[in-house]
Amino acid sequence: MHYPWWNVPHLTSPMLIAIIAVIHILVSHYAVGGGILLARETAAARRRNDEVYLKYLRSHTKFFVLLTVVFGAVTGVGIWWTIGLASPLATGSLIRTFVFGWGIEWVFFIIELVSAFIFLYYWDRLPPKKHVMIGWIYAAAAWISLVLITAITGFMLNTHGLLGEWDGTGGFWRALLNLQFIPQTIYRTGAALVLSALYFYAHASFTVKDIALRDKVQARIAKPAMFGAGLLVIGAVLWYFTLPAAAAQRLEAAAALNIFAGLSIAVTGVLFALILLGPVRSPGWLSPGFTMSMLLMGVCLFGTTEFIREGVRKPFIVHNEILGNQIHVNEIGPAREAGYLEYGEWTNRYVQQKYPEVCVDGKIDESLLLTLDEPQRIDLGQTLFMYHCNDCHAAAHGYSAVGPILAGRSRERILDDVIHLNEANGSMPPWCGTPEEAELLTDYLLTIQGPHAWDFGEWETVPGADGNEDVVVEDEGPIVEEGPVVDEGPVVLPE
Amino acid sequence: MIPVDPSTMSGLPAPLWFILFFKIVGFFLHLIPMGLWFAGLPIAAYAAARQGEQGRLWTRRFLKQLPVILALGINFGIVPLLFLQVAYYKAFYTATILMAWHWLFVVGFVMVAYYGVYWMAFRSDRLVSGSDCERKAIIRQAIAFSLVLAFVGTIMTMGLTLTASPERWDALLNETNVAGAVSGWGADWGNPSIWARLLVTFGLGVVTTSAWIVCDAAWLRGKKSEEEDAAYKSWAQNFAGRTALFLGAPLVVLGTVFFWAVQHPDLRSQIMSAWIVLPILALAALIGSAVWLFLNRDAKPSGKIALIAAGLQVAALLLHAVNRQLTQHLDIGRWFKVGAIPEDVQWSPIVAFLLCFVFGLTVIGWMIAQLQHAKPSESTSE
Repeated sequence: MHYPWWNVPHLTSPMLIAIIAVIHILVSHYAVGGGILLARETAAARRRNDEVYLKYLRSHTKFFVLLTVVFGAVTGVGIWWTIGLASPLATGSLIRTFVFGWGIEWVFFIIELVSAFIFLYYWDRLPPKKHVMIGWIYAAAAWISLVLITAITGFMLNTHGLLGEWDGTGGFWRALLNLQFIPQTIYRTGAALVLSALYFYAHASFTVKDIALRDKVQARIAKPAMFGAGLLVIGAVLWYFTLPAAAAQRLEAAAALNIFAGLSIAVTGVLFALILLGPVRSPGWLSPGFTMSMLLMGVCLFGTTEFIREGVRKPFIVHNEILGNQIHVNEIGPAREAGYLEYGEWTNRYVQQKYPEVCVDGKIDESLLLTLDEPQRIDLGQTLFMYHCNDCHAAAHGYSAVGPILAGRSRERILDDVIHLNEANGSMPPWCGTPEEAELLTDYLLTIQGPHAWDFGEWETVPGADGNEDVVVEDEGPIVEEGPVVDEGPVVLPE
Repeated sequence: MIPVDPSTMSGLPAPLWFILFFKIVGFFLHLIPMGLWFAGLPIAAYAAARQGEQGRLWTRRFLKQLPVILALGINFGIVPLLFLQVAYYKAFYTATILMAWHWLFVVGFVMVAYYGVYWMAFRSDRLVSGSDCERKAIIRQAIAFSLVLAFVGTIMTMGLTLTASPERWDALLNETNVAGAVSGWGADWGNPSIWARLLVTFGLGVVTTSAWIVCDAAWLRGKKSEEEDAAYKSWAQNFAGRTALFLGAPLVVLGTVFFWAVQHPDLRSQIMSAWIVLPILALAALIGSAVWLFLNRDAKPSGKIALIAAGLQVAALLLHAVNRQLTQHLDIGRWFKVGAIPEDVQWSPIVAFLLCFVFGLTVIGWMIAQLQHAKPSESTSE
């Protein structure tokens, strides 16, 4: 549309966002929760002059800084990098709206960075109180950066605001203080504490040989972990109740989302139980294998919840504003009128260069599109697929591939699906092209569709339906109403 | 002529001058650490290999400082990139999408370099106390990670150059076309502006590193014995002076001439008529820093020498940042009228941001001030 579309075969370019984002949040939540735990535990250890525990905390801080400052920061930048490539219109729009939110977040990033380095490199060199204070500065800065980015992801899911409707033109505070802001903040704070506790358990189980110390670490971290689990549950419930109606419906309608939602609830429960049974009641349980299993469960929990958050938002990237295929909702009408190929800057450019014969006075003449040869129509159909569908669907094979979805459908059925794209499935955007372009897209889709994997044989089609003219329906006469059914008593079987 | 019209999104959230101002400030802040890792790391490898014990001492110090330098540089780089996307989104996103995979690789390569820098920092003591084999291994690692960072710099330069070169987009689109979409494997290696810019940036980095060596010796290095201090500082001044004048300054001059030669005539004439004094001043400050360092290479080490060298180099970098922004604005302006985008200023968020900025500076200043009360390091290393 407004930008060239980056085709990533089989995977789709937005899935790269998902991959990098999931990796990032596994570390960034640790950057927040771990910072809180380290500040808390360092303060406690210093109050008690617990040198053994302090030594462990120092080694954990080194691990923490190496992971969060490097991996966390770079993957965070990586998300930013990728969204500009795969979702440029949405990214530009969000940046316009939230540039100063991101500017504020940047200030807190720098505070985090400086405080993290001082906390680690001046561990034994600063007066204890000052050292602890710097730890808390880190924790506070990290949490504030979580709050800010959560406000933005919350806005993407629900643009309705606590201060009133966002009017689509800037409105920074209305956008920031959206309905999802508080639920997601509570959820992510809880999730940060839980995930960080799992990191602590894993780190301690591998690096601490002194059983008493290991048990102490695990017992002390258990309370904030349980607290975090509680926040997580509260946040998740509030998240559900502040979903836009369409998103809540999608959550119920889509099998994958149902399963993931159920899975995330179950895993949360299991983790809660394991923390209760393990670190709280029997700290000695936490062997490396056990802690890694718990960490893996935490990873699954994060992965599934992020998938759900993204999945319920479809077909939008920014709720009620920008569709996943990088078209603003206000552009649907103009695109349909002018033609999707004509309206899109890059589709237009492509057609003008490759098929000048369908252009009249510098514009694409829709009526000439179907006069092209079949290979050319298929090519343009592929162009339409790239710019209209490829943001969510791979072609013949891959992520949510269209080929298998359309398996066995007739041309007429596919064409109907295209024209009524969002009517059968609320996750789909409306068709934004002309009837002629729908034909082109259909031509292309027929080349990638697969056959039905299961041969239904004589039950393949309903007689008379779907243009199946070979089947003869016998006229059995008018339907006769037989009157009410009379209960003739129980059926007595012969002996 | 390829039109790149502003889209119909909401207006600029701040006055254009505000956006460009912070873009310049951010880029300037980014230039300092970026110069240190881009040019400083290969110089450190050379110093460890060829400059004897003092060279190894400095390299050890530098490698220990590099993780912090890299972290700060990456974070400072966020600011100009953010404001670039506010103002020049249309050109920037298009350009980077055309070279998407290369652009994305930057993330991976930065990760590799970042951990490499930490790896070297942890092992840097072996430069001084390790075996010959261990020293050579660290030097080879430094060279390898320099190349990784150089690749990152090349891709970044390519992306930003392509942002201002829409005349090259069609060719890349056609080369990487997938039914009108793009494969993301476009690359504009043949654009001479990229190589000119890299030369200038590397040269700037060399002089920045030279100034850093002298400032670090004067102020940041803990006090050792008189004899050790004198020997080290003398080496630092001498090495910095020669490096700045014989390597840094010529590279910048060469790169500037090259850049000038390959630019569009209309851009050249616009720069000539508008602000030619800026690049001249920047060059003058840079050469001034290099010459100052060279002239004082054998002088008695003093904080004054370091201060003047640093001051001139800071001026050079600041002027370069301003010049770069103005050139970019003119260059992109051939295709994309940023001034045509209406403004929809978000005053209260701007105030909130500025307040947070001041707050942040205060907190950071306080934290750094606490370091004065810190006990000296017990480590034997620098």
